[in-house]
Amino acid sequence: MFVSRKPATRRDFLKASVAIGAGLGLAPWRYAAAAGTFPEHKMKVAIPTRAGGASDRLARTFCDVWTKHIGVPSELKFYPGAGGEVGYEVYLGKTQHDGYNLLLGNMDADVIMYVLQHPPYKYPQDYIYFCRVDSDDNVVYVAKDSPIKTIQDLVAHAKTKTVTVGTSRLPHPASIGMLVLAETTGAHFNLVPYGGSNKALNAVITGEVMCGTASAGVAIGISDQVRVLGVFSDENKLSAMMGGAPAINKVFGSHIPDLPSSRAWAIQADVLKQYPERFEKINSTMKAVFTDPDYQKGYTKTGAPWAAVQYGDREVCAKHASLIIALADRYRGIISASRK
Amino acid sequence: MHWDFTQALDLFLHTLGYWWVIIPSVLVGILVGAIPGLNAANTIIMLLPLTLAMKPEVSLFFMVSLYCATHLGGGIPAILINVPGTGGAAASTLDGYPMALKGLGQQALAMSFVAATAGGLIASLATLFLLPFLSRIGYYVHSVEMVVIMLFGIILIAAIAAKNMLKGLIAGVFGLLLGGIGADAIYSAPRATFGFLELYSGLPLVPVMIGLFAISEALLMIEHEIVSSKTGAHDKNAVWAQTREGIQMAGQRWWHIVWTSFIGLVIGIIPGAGASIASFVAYQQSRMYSKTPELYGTGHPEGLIAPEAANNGVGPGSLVPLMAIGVPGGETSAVMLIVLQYQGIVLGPRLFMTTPYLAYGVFIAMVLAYLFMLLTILPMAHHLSRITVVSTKYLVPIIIAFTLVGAFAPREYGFDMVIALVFGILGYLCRKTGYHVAALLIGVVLGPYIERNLMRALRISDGKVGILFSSTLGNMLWAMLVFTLLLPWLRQQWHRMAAAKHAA
Amino acid sequence: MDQPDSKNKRPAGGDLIVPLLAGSFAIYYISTVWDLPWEASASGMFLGSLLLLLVALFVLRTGHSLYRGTVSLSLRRLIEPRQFQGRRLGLIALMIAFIAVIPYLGFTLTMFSFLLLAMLVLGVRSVPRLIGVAAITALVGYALFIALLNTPFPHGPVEALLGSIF
Repeated sequence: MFVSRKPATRRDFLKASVAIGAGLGLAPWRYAAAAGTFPEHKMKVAIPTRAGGASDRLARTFCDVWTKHIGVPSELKFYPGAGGEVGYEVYLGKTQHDGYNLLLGNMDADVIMYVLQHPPYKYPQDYIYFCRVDSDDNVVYVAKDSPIKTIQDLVAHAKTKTVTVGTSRLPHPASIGMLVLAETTGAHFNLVPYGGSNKALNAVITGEVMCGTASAGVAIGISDQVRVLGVFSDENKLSAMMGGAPAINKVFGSHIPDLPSSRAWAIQADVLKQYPERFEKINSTMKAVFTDPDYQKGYTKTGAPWAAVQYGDREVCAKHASLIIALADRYRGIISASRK
Repeated sequence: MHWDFTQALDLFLHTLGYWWVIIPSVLVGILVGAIPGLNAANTIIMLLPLTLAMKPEVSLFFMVSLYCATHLGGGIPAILINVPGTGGAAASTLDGYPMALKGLGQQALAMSFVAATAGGLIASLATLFLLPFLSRIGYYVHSVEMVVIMLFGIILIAAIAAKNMLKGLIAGVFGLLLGGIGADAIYSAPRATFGFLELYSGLPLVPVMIGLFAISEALLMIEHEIVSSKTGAHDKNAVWAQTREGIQMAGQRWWHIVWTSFIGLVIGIIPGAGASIASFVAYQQSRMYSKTPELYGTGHPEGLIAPEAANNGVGPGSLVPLMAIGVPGGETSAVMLIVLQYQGIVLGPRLFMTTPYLAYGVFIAMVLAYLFMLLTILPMAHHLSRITVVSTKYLVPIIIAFTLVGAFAPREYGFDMVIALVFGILGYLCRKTGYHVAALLIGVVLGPYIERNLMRALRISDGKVGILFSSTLGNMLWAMLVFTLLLPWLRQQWHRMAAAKHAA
Repeated sequence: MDQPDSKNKRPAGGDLIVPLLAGSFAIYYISTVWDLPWEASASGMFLGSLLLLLVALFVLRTGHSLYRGTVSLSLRRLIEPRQFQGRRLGLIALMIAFIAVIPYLGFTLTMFSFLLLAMLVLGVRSVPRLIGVAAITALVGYALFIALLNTPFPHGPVEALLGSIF
């Protein structure tokens, strides 16, 4: 599918392709570019989640603006399944390693999947993350009418009696955050996975579980139904949108690592060696998107907070991925059925 | 917000002004619903460039109307060729197809259209006027209650298998075990995936349904010249009187439509539950309270009306958590939410304050969609029923070709076409040797839901089984379930006593 | 209904196929959940065991009937009427071919070829009808799935050609 701001009709696309003279099965779009200049045709983006989801929305918003900087449109392809593993296997095994193929993944969740599911590819030997797009802190929340008013209340309660926590999945950074909080404070949390953040949210609001943990964007989206108690971060940048919820580390004097849900662009590792100039162009043009006012306009139009948009380069991504790998390994016995 | 009559009328007329969006959406929705493999969610996704280019209001009414219409469309192939177009229409094959075989295809279609549109209208109006009350249902129906509700559907396996209980149970339990393929609900540990990544998330329902119903039926159909010649009766000269007859049959059972549509509405409200569950539970309930339960499965009108009304009650119900709380209840409402967020509209309770015409317009659009549906599709019953007299030499290849590509459509995996073929062969073997494919499908559909909810409930209680009997509503449902199981025996005793009294 | 064979025994050989498939699957399923935590294995163990019990009962019942001479292991119920088996196997072979070639020939051409060959297998001999029905149906499929709904089916030469025209 093409990403374009114009009201799209098939007739428009196909007329353009006739004008440019498509061959059999070749990409129809060609922008005016000097011969040999990268890129010469559209970029292809693999997304390891289903179409019509939050990643779809983010990818479109980002690529709409990136097109201006890179000079060609992007085609999104979705490969849901197996916690993201299908998407990575297709991307690494079945697409060309020529700089024209990229992946936009949920870095944290996908790295946890990598640790627990032992897929056939290797990180970082086979691929690297190089451009973090957003960093949505994970939070702890309760229903608006809950008797629990603060994170201190929750922890105090959880020290005397096990507290049920609704979460999207066990292998998820938000779940790991609760486990670290439990370890740090001596609280007892029982993580109950609901197979999706919406279902977990519903379970908290309707009272099936006492509290929930999810990314801030999810909780902010229905802030009139929930109360955010705290954020897994050293600093709550979205405090005003969360009713002044504090950073958990500040409350307990703890050192729980930042555990956001972040999305990042990834590329096959051998592209860096074989086509370093292509990678550099992709990297620099993507970085330029973050300072483009059109991106802020498009992003905030969806209701998502702009403060969640945080560019992170290769080093930031690598450091964060290492942290998640270490945590996933440490809590493997609790968040997965695997004991090895 | 309080509405006076003038404002309400203004709202209605404002939404009616979008008839040019609603009518085409309804037609596309019926077509999409009738093709196995396509549903509202994946159609909206495939048409994303179109929906994103529309104005938000147009986009919203388009999606809502299409969504409602797919539920009706799914019943058409279910009745005519035993191939459910959507998961929610699977139960409609149980009595709809036998009616078509008897040459009553047109009546069956007309009846199902009336039941579907009436069921959807009732649910839409109920949602419009009772939204705050309906949203409270979610506060009482949790994992425990869902386990019991779905057990009602499981009981249907025994009812379907009545003539050969052991074979029926083998098919049902086999289906339940097949439904357990894939990652478990707690640890996401893969089970019985044969090493295929594509099975990690479980058996995909659409290819399984296509295989068990469409392909297996096609492999059997070649033994007959036309579909309805199996029992020697066919309506070669289908006339309008048969459509009127179908409408009358539905009209005579209006109360049946009302209460089964509420089953669909209530189940639709629960996040994660879907139309396939609602239609099987409604069918089971309809059979349970019927004076002639032995007629179910032979082409009994109530056996068609119940699942169709429930199936169409689900659509409005599934929008309740989204509009009342802001949390989408299912895949389609989640996609709608994302599409509109991209355009700067957030579906949810706040919409009633910020843009009430849009918020209430959602439900008015549903009402109008159902009204337009009835007007557009009812005249088509006469023509659609002629499918049953098309030679199978043409019909079978067309069914197989369209359903194989339909198996590909939801996930865009070639693997899913293989799944459809494998289950097609399995379905054929089952039909030829007296095992009920419906029992197998019920197991595949309901098994994962029951396991997920049961494991979640046990997780919450730290493994204590007592949680299953810890809520008032849950215990009431258990009591109803026991009553359901005992009802055939109680009826037998009552008849025996009545006969003895009469003899005396 | 089953017709008894010459010795008045009901053919029951075919009836064992589904239980044997089910039983094999149950054993496989249990083997994959054997060392998982109870939440991941409980339902599979329960259902798998129940299924094996049911299959065992069925096999015993069939064995008892065999012993009494009321059934035979004939597969007649499965393979009759025989005159359609060739067509059935032909359709299955075509379905396998459909799945195998669609990535290369694309949606429309594969559909056209399948329809034409399937109708031929089922006994249609009129060439105009064969080509006409196959072509019209394939084009309707193209119009619906590719042109209208933009379903991402594999594209082949026909899609490229129609795309350049329209």
